[in-house]
Amino acid sequence: MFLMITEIFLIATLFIVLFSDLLLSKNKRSLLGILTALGFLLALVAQIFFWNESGSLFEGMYVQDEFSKLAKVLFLIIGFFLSLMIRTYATKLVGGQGEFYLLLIAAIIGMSFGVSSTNLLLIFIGLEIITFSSYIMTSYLKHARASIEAGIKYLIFGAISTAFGLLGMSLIYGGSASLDILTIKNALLSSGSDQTLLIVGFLFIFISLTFKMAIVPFQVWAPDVYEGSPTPVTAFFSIASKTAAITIFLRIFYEIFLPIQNQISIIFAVIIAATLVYANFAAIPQKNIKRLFGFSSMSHAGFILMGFLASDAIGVGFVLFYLFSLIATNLAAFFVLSLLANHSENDRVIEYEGLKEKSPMLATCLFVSLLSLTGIPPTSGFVAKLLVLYSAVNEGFLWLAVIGIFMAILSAYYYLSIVGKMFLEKPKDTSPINIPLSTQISLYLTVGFVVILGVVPGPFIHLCQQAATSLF
Amino acid sequence: MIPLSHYLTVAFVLFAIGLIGIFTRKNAILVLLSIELLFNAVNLSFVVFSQAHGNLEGQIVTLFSMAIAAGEVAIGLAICILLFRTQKTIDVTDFTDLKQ
Repeated sequence: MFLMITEIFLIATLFIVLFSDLLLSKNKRSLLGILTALGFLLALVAQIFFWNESGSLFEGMYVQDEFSKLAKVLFLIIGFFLSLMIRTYATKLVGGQGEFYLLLIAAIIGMSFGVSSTNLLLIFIGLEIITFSSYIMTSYLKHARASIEAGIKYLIFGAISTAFGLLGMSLIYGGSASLDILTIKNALLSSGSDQTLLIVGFLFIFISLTFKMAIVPFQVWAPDVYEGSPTPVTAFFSIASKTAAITIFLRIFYEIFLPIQNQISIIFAVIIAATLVYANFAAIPQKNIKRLFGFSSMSHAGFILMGFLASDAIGVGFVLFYLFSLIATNLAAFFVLSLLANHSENDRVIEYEGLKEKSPMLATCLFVSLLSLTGIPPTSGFVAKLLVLYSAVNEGFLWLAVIGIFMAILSAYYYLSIVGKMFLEKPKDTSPINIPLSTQISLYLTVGFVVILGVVPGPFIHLCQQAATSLF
Repeated sequence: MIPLSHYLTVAFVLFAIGLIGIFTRKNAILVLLSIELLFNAVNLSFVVFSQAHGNLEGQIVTLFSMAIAAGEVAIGLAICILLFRTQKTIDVTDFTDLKQ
């Protein structure tokens, strides 16, 4: 019972929000955001309160271990902040805001189930709950051409990704006669079974998840979808669906396919190098800030995948730490972006000129988070990048680490040019920007967390590594 | 008795036709049809493996994946309607607002 505490709380929140959306009068709908955030917060408190409850349910198809608990904490934090972010954006959501919160909660439920399941079918269903919600959220602005266009593009590529994932599952099922993770692992280790089927199946599942993480060569959808979606949904893509895809991939990869890591790590390395080079060069000429963040999140996915070259709990801990850092950093940046999106129509980088004079606080927060995205010392991004680069060097991929360092330096160009625009240029109109209280608090929390992670990373790295040991 | 490989070949050919369809068709509805084809190809391979192994897990997956494919296409059609309302066309090559 207490093993599924997160899911139970979230499903309860889902129904409460659904019915209050029907019952509340139109001008009180802004309460829904508070309600959703409260639901996430309660689930988070409950999850931490019952931290010692571990075990498995449903004949071992659902497992609650240290790793899934940490992942769920991450998802709940993301859900909490995203619901606050949607609340400040709500005036733009013409289709009503109630359903939008429902979709967000449903997506987070899907993530929680997906990361806890040890059966490929359940993992698949968890992933599908996430994608279905994001299809609808992407095309939510039903009068905006860009939003609908992003919706159909994401739907087509998402469906291809799903089909590849299912194809991989069917090959794995063909090779091992089971969908259970442990049985598949035993089949992979025993000499009697058909190993080729298993490995090809794994590669198809890998393709399917790289679609979700936007890794080269399956990145084509990302910039368009990031640009066209409503800003909180762009945040959802670059934070939530990336975290979900990576944690689920961590489970599949380290619980089943660790024995064949040596044979495929060279494929990983080449893909990572291609992603880093493509994403960073393509980001330079971008004029639209959301599109820029699309490429930026692509490049970060490349760095995270670098952690997959390691074959022990320490390396996996580094991946989780990178996720921590990326979540805090991107949340801070997107709070600023979505607040400014309320005041502008087209999210051009030029509109950030002279942000310092309009609102020093927003400019400073965006500055810190851009520093962290670049990877400059007192911030968490630096520590995170250092750790995954260490992973790569440790496994003998020095050339990859060198490419990584050069690309991090290159990324400073396009991140810091935004900083230059914010602090050095004069704004066109100097009307001050009104920051709602919830956004202020969220900005303090996220930016504070970015700096804390950068200054005292030790305890968090330890926590991540402890969680990672349960995968082995 | 038809051997396993024949069924699998059919499944993979179907999958390939679906993929080609997605990238060559211009009408959004036909793209959705091609997506259906992908899912059906996978379902076929699940059923074949299920029969070969003599357990039912694969057939259970097929039931789930049919439901999911239906949901996918339902959302797809809803988006097609929105597309037609905003752009007066559902030709996928016409959607070029998001490009640099």
